[in-house]
Order: sequence, then C-alpha cells, then structure tokens
Amino acid sequence: MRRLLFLLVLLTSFSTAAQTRATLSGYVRDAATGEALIGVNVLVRETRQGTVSNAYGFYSISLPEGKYTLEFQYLGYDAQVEQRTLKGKQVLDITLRETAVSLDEVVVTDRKITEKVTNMEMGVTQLTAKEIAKIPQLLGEVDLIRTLTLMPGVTTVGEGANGFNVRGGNIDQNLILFDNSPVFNSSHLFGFFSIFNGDAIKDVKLYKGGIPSKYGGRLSSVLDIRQKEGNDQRFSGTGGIGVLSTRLLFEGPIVKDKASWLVSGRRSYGDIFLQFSNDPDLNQSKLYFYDLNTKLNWKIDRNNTIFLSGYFGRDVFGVNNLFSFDWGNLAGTLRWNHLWSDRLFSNTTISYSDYNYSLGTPPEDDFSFQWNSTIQNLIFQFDNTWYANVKNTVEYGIQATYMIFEPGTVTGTITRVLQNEYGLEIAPYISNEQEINENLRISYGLRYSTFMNLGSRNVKSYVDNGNPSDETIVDSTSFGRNEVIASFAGWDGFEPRLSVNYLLNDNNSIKLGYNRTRQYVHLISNTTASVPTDVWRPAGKFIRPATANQISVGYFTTFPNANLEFSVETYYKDLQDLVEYRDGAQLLFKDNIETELLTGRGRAYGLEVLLERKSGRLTGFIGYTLSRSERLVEDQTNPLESINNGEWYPANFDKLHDISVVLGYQISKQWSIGTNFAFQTGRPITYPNTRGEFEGIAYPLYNNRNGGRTPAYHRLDLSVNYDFKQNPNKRWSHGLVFGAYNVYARRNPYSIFFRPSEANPGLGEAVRLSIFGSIIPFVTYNFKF
Amino acid sequence: MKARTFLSSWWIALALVGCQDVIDLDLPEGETLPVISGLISTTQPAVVTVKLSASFLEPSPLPIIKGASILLFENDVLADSLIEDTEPGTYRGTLIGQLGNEYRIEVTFPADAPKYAGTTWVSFAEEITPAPPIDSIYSAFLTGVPFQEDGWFPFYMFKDPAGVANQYRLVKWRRDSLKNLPTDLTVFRDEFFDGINFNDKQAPAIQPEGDPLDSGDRYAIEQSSLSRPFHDYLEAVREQTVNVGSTVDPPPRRIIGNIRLQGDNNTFALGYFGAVDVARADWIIGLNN
Repeated sequence: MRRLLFLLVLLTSFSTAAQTRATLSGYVRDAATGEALIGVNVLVRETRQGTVSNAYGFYSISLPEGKYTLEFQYLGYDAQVEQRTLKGKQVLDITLRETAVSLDEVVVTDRKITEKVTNMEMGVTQLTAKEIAKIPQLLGEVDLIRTLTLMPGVTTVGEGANGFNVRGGNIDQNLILFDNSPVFNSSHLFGFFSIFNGDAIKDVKLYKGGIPSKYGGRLSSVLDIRQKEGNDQRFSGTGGIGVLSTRLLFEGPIVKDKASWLVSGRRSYGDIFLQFSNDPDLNQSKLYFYDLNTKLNWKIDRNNTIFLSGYFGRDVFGVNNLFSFDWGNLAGTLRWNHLWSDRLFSNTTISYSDYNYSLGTPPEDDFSFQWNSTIQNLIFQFDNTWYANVKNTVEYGIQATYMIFEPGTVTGTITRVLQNEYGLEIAPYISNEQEINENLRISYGLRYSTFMNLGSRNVKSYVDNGNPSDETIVDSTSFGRNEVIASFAGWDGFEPRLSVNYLLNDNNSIKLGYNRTRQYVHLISNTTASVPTDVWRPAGKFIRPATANQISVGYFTTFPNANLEFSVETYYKDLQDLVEYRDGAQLLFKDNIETELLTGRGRAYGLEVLLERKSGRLTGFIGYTLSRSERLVEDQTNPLESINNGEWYPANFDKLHDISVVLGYQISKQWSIGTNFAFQTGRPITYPNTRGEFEGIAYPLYNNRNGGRTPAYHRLDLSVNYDFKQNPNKRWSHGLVFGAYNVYARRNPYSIFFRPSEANPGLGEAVRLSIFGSIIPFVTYNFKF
Repeated sequence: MKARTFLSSWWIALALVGCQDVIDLDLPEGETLPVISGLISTTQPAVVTVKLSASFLEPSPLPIIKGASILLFENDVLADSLIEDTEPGTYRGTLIGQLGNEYRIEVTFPADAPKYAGTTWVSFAEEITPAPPIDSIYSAFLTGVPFQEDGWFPFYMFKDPAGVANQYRLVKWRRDSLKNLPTDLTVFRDEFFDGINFNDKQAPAIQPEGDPLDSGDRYAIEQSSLSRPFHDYLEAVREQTVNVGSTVDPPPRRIIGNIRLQGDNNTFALGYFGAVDVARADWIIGLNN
C-alpha cells in the first residue's frame, strides 16, 4: 500500500514538473445550457491524434509546439473547428450548439463515425437521454433499464423482474452508480419501471467488459449514470404527463456561467385513481412511487468546481389499513473538481447511499409489527487523470467504502433485532492508456481491493466451519466495535485490467479485453425475481468474496457512406464463489445466514453483434446475442444438497438467442415514428419429473433445476411523436407521444408453473403466466421551455 | 365523475392484464417412485397410503399398491401391524399414539408390485410432542373488515409454550366437511411469537376462517404439534402447490420426506410419516360456545 501511495505522489509531482511541450486544455459545454459535454472528440487534423472530454467536459492535449487545426465533434451537435498556434500552456473552452432537426441525410464526419473503431472501449454501451427518449416504452415512461435490456448482452428474467443481467451475471453483479453513489435497488413498482427519471439524466454508460480499473466492487458490469448539472444560462424546464406518472424538471442559473441548480420530480398516480373506485378495499389502498433529483454546481474559478447532487426515491404500497410496505433509495454526492495543472485533473468525491425498506401493520393494532432494514454506504473517492502527453493518459486514485448492513429490526408487539454487519473496502488503482504506434493502442491497469468484515458482532462457530448448520453450532465469539472479523487481502485482491485496440485501417479495428473483478457484497434471494426485501450480506468468516475473470475479443467496423457502425464481440467469463441458497432456505430474519447458503461457480460465454445508425432520418440498431450462462453448485459434504447432482445447469436468465430491432424514422419536422421488435429464446424453467401426493393433493417433484424452457418471447412496440408547431418568438415547445406496447397482444410466458388441478386437486396441471396478456396503449404529453 | 370512473377502471384493467392459462405440455418421462404417506396421532391410530408416482400431467389418479406389509414401531419396538382398508392402497392400525413416544413404520412392497417388488422402505422416527390446549373459543359477527365479507367468524385462544420451538398444523372442518384444498394446508412456527398468549389481551385470538359462516353452522379445528422436519415437509408441499404463479415465487425445489429405502441413505420415497398430538375445538356458530 505504501508503495502505491508513493507512486501516486510521484506521478502527481512528475506531472507538474514535466512541461516541455505545448498543452491545450479546456472545457467543452453545451452552448444553450452550459452543461458539460461528456466524450466530445477533440481531433488534431494534422497529426490525426486526439482525445476525448471526460465526465466533467474537461480535455487536455499535449503536442509539439506549432500550428494546428482542432476539430470538436459530438453526436447531435454542430462540429466546431479551431485553428491555434500552440506554445506553452493554452486554454480553449468550447461551446457546441445542438444540431437543428434536419430532414436531410447528413453523413457524419469520418472521425465521428469511426469513434467506436478507434477508441479503447469494448463491451461498452453509451446512451444519451435523447436516445433513450426516442424508443417506444411501456406506458410511455422513458425507462433507462428497459432500454438497456434491448442492447446485446443485457437480459432480464422477464417483464416486471427487478434489475438486469449482463453477460451471464446475476443482478447483484452490476455496479449502478448514480452521480457516483451506488444504487442497490434500481426499480420502482416491483421491477416494472426504473428509478431513474429520464429528464434528469445526461449520460449513461454501461461497461459489460473491459471495465476500467477505477471501477470495482461488482463482478459483471458498471452502469455509470450522470445527472444533468443544471442550466447555467437561463431558467428552463421540461415535463410530461403520462398515464402512469407526471414529471417536472426545473433548472436555472444562480449566477450566470458560474453556478446553477436543478430540481426534478416524478410521481405515479395509480393510487389517486384507485380512490375513485367504489370498492372500499381498492379505494383505500396505495401503490405509487415518487422520486426527486436535485443538483447544485458552482464553478468557483477555472480550477475548482463543486457539485452537490441528491436522489430521493420511494415506493409506497399499502393494503387498506391492514398493511404497509415502502422502500426506496437515498443518495447524495459532494464532488470537487480541481485542476492541479493544465494536465492533471482530479475529482474528489464523498458520497452517501442508503437503501431501506419498512413493512408492517398500523402501530395501533392489537398485534402490530414494524420491520425496518437498511444498507448504507459512505464512500470517499479520489480520482486523478494525468494527460502525460498525446500518447499517454494515466488515471490513478483510491476509493474507500464503509458499509453498514442492518438486516432487520422488528418493533411492536414482538421485538427482534438482527445484528448489524459492517464492512470496509479499500481499493487503490492505476491505469495508463498508451498509444504504441499509429495502429496499436493499449490500456493497462491494476486495481487492488481489500475488504474487512468488522465488528461489533457475535459470530458463531460450527463443528465444521466449511459446512455450517444450525444443528452443529459449538461456540460464539464476540467481536468488539471495528474489530476485524474476517479480512480479504493478499494476491487475490489484485484485479488486472487490459484493453488492446489494433487499428487495421481507418474503418476497421480488432480489440481485446481482459478484466478480473472482485465482489464483497452479495444479494441473497430465493425468489425467481428479486424483491425489495431481498437480503444483502457482506463477505465474512463464512461467505467468500466472489471473483470473475472475463476475456473478450471484438471486431469493429464502420461504413461511413451509410452512417453505419458494426461490431461483433465474443466473450468468456468465469465466476467463482457465487452465493447460492439451499433448497427451502429461510433467508429472512436469519442472523447466521451462512447455514442457508451454498457456494457455486458460474460460466458465461457468448457472441454479440450490433449494427447501429445514429444519425440521419432513419436511426436505430439491430442487436443479436448468442449466449450461454450456467451455474454449478456442488455440496461434497451432503450430495443431496447439490443442485442437479452437482452438474452444470442454465442460470434463470440464460437465453440462447436474443434479437432486438430498434428503429426511429423522422417523417417530417413534426412527425416521427419509432418501433421495437424483440425476440428471445424462452427462459429456463424447472419441469417436474414426477407427481407425488399428500392427503389427496398432487404436488410436483423437481430434481432437474432449469431443465425445461418457456416458449420463445417476442414483442412489437410502436410509437408516434408529434411536435406541435413552435412559435419562433417563444421558447415553449410541446408535443405528444402515443403508441402501444405489445402491439400484437402476444401472451409471452413469464413462466410456466405446475399446481394441483383446480377441478381435481389429486391431478396436476401446467399453467402459463403472462405478465402482459394484451396490447397496452399509451399517450404522453411533453413540454419544454 | 365518468372520467374518474374511467381512470380508475383503466388502472384496475392495467393491473389485470397479466394472465394465467392452463396449457397442454409434453413433459419428459419421469422416474416412478413410491409415494408413502401416513400419520399417527394421540386421537387416531396410524393410517398409511401406499402408491406409485406418475407423470405430473398424467390425467388419472396415482397407481395404488395393494398387499403391502406395514409395521409400526413404538420406541423402536414392533407395536402394530397395519391392515389393508376397504379403500385400496390405504392401511390402518389399531394403536393410538402416546405423548413422548417415538414412532416409525416399515413398508414392504408385495412381490407382485411393479418396479419395487419386495423392497422395504423405512421412516425416520418421529416423537409426539404435546400440542398446547385450546383454552377458549367463540364466534363473532364482523362487518367492514377489509378484503373480507361480512358474517360470522370463529375465534380460538391458546398459549404457545415459552422457551421451546413449536410447530403447528391447523386442520379445519366447515359444516362437517374437511377443508382439503391445497390452500387449506396451514402450518406455522412460533419463531416470532414464542410464549405469546393469543387470548385477546396479550395478542388477538386466532381467526382460522377467512370465509363467513352462518349462525348455527358447525365448525371444527384440530391444531396439532409437529416435529420440525414434518413442518418443513408440509411447508414445502404448501409452497410448491400454493405459492406458484407470480413473478416472485420461490423457485421449484425438491420435497424430501422422511421415508427411505432400507439400507440406502440416498434413495427416498415421496411422502412422510408423521406423529402428532392434537388439540380439537368444535363450534356451533353464533352460540356462546
């Protein structure tokens, strides 16, 4: 650790001392709103070299002194060309203007179209709020997670299931960062909608592979979501009224060009309409969600900017006056951007995240209970980017996360408290993106993660600690506050990351990626789809951290004349020490939860093909994934506990074929249409292999987990956008989006389950469950000023 | 007002667009296993049924096994031999269970039985633990309770013994008919109410029935004490037959009983042989019982 810290200090010192070349640096912002633009291409025409703006719009490029032509390019914005004679240190801040809607087929410039070919990223999906908004959605709700599941390599168990699965990983293997704060539950309404209000989102990046070393703590993916900063030019707003919810966003300057604010809110109103029902059981029930996004940013001076952002979201469910259940996330981030020099950019972040739920009966009931549970993370992060020279960009930093798990506290007629668990994860990292020659670029990095499970806590010991059970408890050890119960350090903590890009020519490249990731917290669930009450537990004396190794290879090409990008990627992922539950596990209110768990392995492999068109009248993509995701759970102590006799079996979300066609067409300046078509192989289900009977009731006997499959899933969605004619003298613009989800009303099976026959409980029957059995129309009114 | 009605109807309709359809399905040919279920209680002698399992969607009852030999052991001593009933495949004993004693059975298939001819299946011993008495019963006419029709409902009181883990099963008779649908299988543990007295003072009396009764109806319950393995077995049967059909169901799992092939620790029959103590209560609804 000392050596790593020394290296960081050394790099910082060196960067400030090494100033032998001319350096051009600055920020790239939206001309209308002042929003920093992420990922703007900065191209030096003479050298055909370049860089991209970072998450805060900052760029820096070092070149030999001389005269250069610089081009700033960003999809959806007019490119800007600047000529500069570079000498010493120079600053060039750029503002880009959004491209007006054009019905001409515009061929984007070579650089823009070849970005995917030339950059180091593979296994990365990047979306902007505008792209997400164009896609037809369930009930017209702009939904980030649902959009991502259309992309190759991203699946879900089914409609209405919480979370998403990336390249064969479980839903807890995705690190979801909302302005740097981790989010533990990304769904509203039990999984039907995501918690992210599309209006407040600026940029979304999903890393399925080639995960940079600055990210860690989850095995399979990183979903990095950036909120808008707030318009520092003028007061403005957007909003919409749909059949599910109403949303509003207001933003404006506190001091023009210096400081801005943003407030965004959304609330669903199913409960309001239910009040109109004549059924007293319905009209006093509640089921709604709300979320609130806030942000302040203050550009203190050229070298210092402070951001303060917050998210507060909640789902509220109440059955008359009998029972209530609510859950939600709270997240806050304070960030300080500092320019140590024109080539060294740092970001210091303190963030807090809290996911909690509460359920129970009214306190005045004779027999009442209130159950509360929470997970809290307090994170300190120090990230630096050193633009060493035009061929090397070094990133380094450190991240420390303190975690508090409160699995459950019951109050009321009955009181019961589960012990808290505490964890501390510390991870320094370093990486360098290096241009070896004109054709070969390598990004190599190393992350070193350590984790400590800390007291205070009483920990049980068993006759065989490798096979804990309630019947074999022999002792209990008491650990004091912050005393180390279990520690994970050493060689296992090294997480190397590597990306290689070999440019065959301007329009073709081959990429290679490898990453090793470690995960120290686990979501333990024994339901088909995750529920808000599922248990998160840290690695400790009995639960090992999980590890994944992924290797991927890709071919990227472009067809500039047709504005088309094409990529094909293949990957293999090995997963170790996954947490599985025993048959019939009791996970709720279990202090020594290790007695209910087994350890498993996983493997996932696949091929992802993507053809995209991001500009022109016709935009969209066609994605295809061919993949497998499998698990192996073997209990050598008790073979009866092994799943499928200790042989490999398909994971719940394994789908061999997954095809998405997402198209949008601009008919005129006012009319546009969008369509989705999705096809997936049916998901694995477990068929009974025989029928037993208890007191005349038939019951199924299963011994081949996920041995069968549901029929294939396919669905077509359509939407039509109409923008009302805008008065050129007014800023107000508005429009309608209407359409339908599941246009041909297919009853896609979520599952097939088996139960005693309703007519004769001594016999069995198979039943298909469809979440949406009919066409679902929608209409949304949107406005902007 | 019409708009309000429309909007509330729209939301209710949205909530109901999910649907379930009974479908035809070709299941792979499964393994045929013995299905042995039985019970001895402190009020009834042992009753055991012996059948063979079949494909889950086979549209006929399970094949029964006639002519099996079934021996009942009390504290590991042979105590009873069960006789085949007039109902084929059902065998009855004469010995009534005693509190604190352990019981197990040995079932030997007849020589002409298909697949398992001559094999012997033995159950793990089950001890009968006391069921706490039902202290008091009454019935009350309830109105305006959410998600419940107005009408008469029975209530009973009992005190859970403190300091020991107790498991219970509730069997109900409504108008002298045994309630025997999958949803009627009711088992529970005292994990969250150890030592609580359900006497309308410390905790409300227990309402065993969700559907209203009429004044004068007969109603009865038997609350029996279960071993933990028997509870877990019944809970698994309930879970796999009732808790199915939603997005958040527990996934399918094996239901392993307590009857195994003699001399083989890894081969289990389907079913369970349990031993229970029983506390019973009978109501005439509307009368001061």
